[in-house]
Amino acid sequence: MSLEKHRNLLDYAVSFLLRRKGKNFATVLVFTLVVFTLASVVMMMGSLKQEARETLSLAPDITVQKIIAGRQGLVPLEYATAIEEIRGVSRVEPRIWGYYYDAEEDATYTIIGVESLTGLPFEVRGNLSESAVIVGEAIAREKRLRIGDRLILRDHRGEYVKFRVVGIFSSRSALQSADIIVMPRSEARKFFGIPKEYSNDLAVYVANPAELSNIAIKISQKLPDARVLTKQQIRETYDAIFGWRSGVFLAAILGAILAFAILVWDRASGLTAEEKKEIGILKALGWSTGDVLEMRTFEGVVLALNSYLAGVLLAYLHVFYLGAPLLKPVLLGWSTLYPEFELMPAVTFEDLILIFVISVVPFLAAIVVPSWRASTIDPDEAMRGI
Amino acid sequence: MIRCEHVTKVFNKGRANEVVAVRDVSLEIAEGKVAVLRGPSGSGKTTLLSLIACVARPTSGRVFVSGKEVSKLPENFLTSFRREHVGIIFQQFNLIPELSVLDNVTLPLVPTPIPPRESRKRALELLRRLGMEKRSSFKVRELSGGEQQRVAIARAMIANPRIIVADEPTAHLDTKLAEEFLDIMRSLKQEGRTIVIATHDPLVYEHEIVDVIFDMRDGMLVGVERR
Ligand SMILES: Nc1ncnc2c1ncn2[C@@H]1O[C@H](COP(=O)(O)OP(=O)(O)OP(=O)(O)O)[C@@H](O)[C@H]1O
Ligand SMILES: [Mg+2]
Repeated sequence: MSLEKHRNLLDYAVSFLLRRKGKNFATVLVFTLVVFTLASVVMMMGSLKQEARETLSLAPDITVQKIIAGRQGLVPLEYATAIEEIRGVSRVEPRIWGYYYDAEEDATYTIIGVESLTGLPFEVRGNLSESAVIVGEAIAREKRLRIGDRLILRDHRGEYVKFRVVGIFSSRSALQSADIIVMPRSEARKFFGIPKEYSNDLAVYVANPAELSNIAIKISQKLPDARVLTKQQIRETYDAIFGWRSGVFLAAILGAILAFAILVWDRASGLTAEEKKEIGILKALGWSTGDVLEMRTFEGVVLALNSYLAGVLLAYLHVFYLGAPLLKPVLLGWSTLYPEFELMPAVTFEDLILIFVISVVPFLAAIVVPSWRASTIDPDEAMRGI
Repeated sequence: MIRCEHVTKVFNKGRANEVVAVRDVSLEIAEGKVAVLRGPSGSGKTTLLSLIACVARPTSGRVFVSGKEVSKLPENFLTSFRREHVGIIFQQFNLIPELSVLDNVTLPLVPTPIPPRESRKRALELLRRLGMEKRSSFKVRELSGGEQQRVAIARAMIANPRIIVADEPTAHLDTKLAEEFLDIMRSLKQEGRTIVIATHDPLVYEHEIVDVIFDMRDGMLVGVERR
């Protein structure tokens, strides 16, 4: 076994491919398309998964709501005191938030009250007075708001309230922040007309994550009319929607269909009489079955790698620069929920491996298997013009 | 030296279309000699040549080439033996049209550890010797029939084999080119190589370089003419 020999075979395979650009162009095109489709699906799924993970990382360990007549009602602040008494609870934060319908834009925003506008991971500028707000990028775009601009909203009594925009969320996590307005908690309370001794829900933080489900059970026991949601439950919900598994499943099905299409296409074009003759000639000239097979495999690998790289690159551009216009209508219903939703580039090494395995491997099989059969042609066939 | 002992080659054995292409042939060709296999179409010339060139194995009987019993060699040894000991000039030239002249000539050396630069150097030397150095970067399909045959000869010579076999080498050549081919064979003979040619062209078998003629009919050896 010498390395030189394999290098010679590889050189030959490459130079031969270059000489038959026409024929190989079609192969590369079809295969690139397959990789492109697969990679687009996987990348989109990966991005959604990443988005969900980020959303989740901001969520409190436990969310406590009060259920009144089967619906979510205001939570009395005594509940917070009761929960604080449970061992292992590090902090309870009464949250003020709600939805706001903007008739002018025919859009619904989420208003969130926070303790202080300065502790947030966003840049804020200007005077952080009572009426200061930070708005999501989508709102800023729709309403053409810039930092320092005035934002007028109608409060729960229908009266106009003036706010000053001091910051705009970047879309690092678009799902999170696109349609959100953040304002001081006291302002939000006034705006929605929520009495002092109530909040919308409670965010509960736990010192030790291992105790999370225990503490959740204790809260339910102590406050039977409360609905207790743990981070874990939210995660499961996300998984069900943008689930990795469903993504892989979808990708695998698509891959199988396309690989099948390629196989059929390859079978239809097949090994031409010329290719078979060529193999016979090589064998008569002293190439072994293994040499022929190795050369064909190199051909396949070179074609596959080129198509793979091209397909992955195109998919990246398609998904993250263009927002997956070819896939959005096909996949899930979320595009109607979040028409402005921007996919964040989030490609993991595992994604790339996955795409590789479900595309390149069947492709190589499709190239190598027919050649393998042809490479067993007896060299004496070449003696008679087949 | 080439020796065949009771060599028989049967195609499609045991089936309705069974053909005995070579039947119980025994012959010997001494080293450095030029031998001709002569006979009408279908008499088994190409088949016997394949056996001598180690591209096929006899159904029964033994074939010895350069002192080795090649009919006994396993496939992978036969392959490398063929590459190192036998150069084949095919009836249809069997060049690969997409490749350049140079790449066609170096083809037998691809599955070897010989570096490309070295094989190219050897190929250019051979092409120069055959008056083809100016055509080395041409595509094969841009060549005339005579030029194509020289490429085929250069390719057969690239591994410097001791034995050259040629199947109907003058079938596609006019008289002048056929003469030139025989001149090349003469120079190869002068280097001490053994040459076996299957042909029914009198221009070849009447040529002075030929040492022995084997006459074939229906797969059988029916006569030997030594000069
Ligand atoms: N692979 C094969 N399968 C079946 N029959 C074959 C095969 N190869 C050769 N034959 C048969 O064997 C016989 C001898 O063929 P061969 O090619 O050796 O003859 P030839 O003397 O070279 O003829 P020609 O002068 O036409 O080239 C023919 O009848 C041919 O049909
Ligand atoms: Mg013949």
